[in-house]
Amino acid sequence: MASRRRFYARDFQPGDLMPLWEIHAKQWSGQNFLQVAPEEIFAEFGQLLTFTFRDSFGNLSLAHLCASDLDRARYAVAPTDRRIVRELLSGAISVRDALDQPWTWVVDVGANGSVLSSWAIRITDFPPDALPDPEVLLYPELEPMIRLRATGDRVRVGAIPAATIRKIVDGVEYAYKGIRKAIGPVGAPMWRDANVLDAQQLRFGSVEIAFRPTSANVQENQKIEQVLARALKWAFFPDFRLSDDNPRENRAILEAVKWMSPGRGERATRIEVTGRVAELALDASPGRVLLTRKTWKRAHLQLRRLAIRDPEPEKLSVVGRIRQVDEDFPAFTLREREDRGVDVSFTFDLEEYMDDVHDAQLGGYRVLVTGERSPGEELFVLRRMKPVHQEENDDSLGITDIDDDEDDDDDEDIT
Amino acid sequence: MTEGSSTSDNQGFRNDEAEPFRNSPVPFDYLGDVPDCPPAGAVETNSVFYCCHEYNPAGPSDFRTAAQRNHFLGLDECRRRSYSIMRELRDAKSLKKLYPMVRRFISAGDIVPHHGFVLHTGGRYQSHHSLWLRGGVSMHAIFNRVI
Repeated sequence: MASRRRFYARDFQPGDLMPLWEIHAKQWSGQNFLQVAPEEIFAEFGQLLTFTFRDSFGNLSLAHLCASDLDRARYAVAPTDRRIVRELLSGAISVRDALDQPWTWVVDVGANGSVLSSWAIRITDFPPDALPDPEVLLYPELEPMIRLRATGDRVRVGAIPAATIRKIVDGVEYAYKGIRKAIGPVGAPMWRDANVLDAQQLRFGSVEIAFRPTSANVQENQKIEQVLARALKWAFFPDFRLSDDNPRENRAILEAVKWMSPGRGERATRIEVTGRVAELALDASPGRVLLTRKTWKRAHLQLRRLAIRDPEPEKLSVVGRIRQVDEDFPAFTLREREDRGVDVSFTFDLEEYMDDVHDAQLGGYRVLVTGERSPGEELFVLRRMKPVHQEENDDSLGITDIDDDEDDDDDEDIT
Repeated sequence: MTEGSSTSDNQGFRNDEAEPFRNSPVPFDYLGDVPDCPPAGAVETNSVFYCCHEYNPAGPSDFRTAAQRNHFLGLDECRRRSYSIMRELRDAKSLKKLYPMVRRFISAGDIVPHHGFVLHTGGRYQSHHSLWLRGGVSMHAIFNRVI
């Protein structure tokens, strides 16, 4: 075992360390870098790390530390402007995006900000570990909840299928909503906005979209992220088993994986997931989970197995009037039933049914609603609703069964 | 030294003596010319912290204060002589991602009262703390568990 050794910075002289990486380029002969005096500092921990400064001609530049030794700091420097800085600080672009400009320099800065040397090189010529990965943002709080990147032979720059963009957006939004519904209310009740996610970053080189939740309910967001991370864990580790004590959540997890994975016939064949939930899933930073058609098929088969084991849900089709709506949950109570039954409550998908529910409540007219609930559930889940006109009203609109074929159709739609 | 705001909630830290460092048997000899340093609010602690460094084991260019780097001349001299450390591993990992070459490794260290005083200085890295070491105590000796 190596002996422990004490180091004191004051005991060392410049030159004791490995030299900084060698740059294979001509030294920059321009006079724009003589002295570096930070204008706005974005990160510093006993050392200037990332900041803006004005070059000798007054042009704004962005500097990001990429190497250092005892007597100098080496920065990647790129011309910048207020728009780039704003996007960098808001997490709309990454650090590498901000540095990836037609002109990039390496600038060695000594004590008191004096420039020792500078070189003009392309960002692609930096050593691989000198700069952060392309998706790394300036501050940890900016890290998106989830980022999906679709690739495939038919996903090319300049010819990105609209369906691929739609697949990413719909997939992650349906996954998020499904999990939120499965976990139920968490923390203080919030207005359940139909817009649950904001696109934080958009890149169309390979179709990459990063999302963050719109809700301010921190507790709920954290819970959803944990469940979403379990979904990615299930996708990443073939032997990861979902616990048996929460079948509803398990179903939401499998559906989330299925929604986000590329299915048969889709142009994107691989979807790479990064962001906070991927790091949480793998306990690694950065975390990357690859979703393929195989992942889709695994989730699909597992859902089928669950469906076989599931007890038959109770189904209901009934005519009545919507007199009370709880938009927070969201749910409504059906009263004045045609079959003179007791009032019955339904929960519903806000985005799909909110307008219809509102219209029925405000209009006071009768509606035929169909829904189902699993054993132990209190509320029925609304599956279909339509207004009932007087001439359509007859005794057959009492309690009836729902046509089972609809669910099978929905299943196939996903492919 | 860090960017952003400065706070001092210091949850979980002992602060049962008023300015105990003034009577410490191990003085902050390198701070002798800086009045009121470490600042009021800095406390002793028994906690794990994290610090990033470039070499493994940490070398002489690692774990240096702004004063040792000759940075931030003219700014708060007391803060210039403090070391930057993180309470949360998550923040240290973020720094490692952002500066992969110069913050290549993360080490954990158990800071105990005889090491010195810490102050929560927060900012965009919320768990950022400033550490003032007592004379004769080395960062390299404390942060010796590479993660």
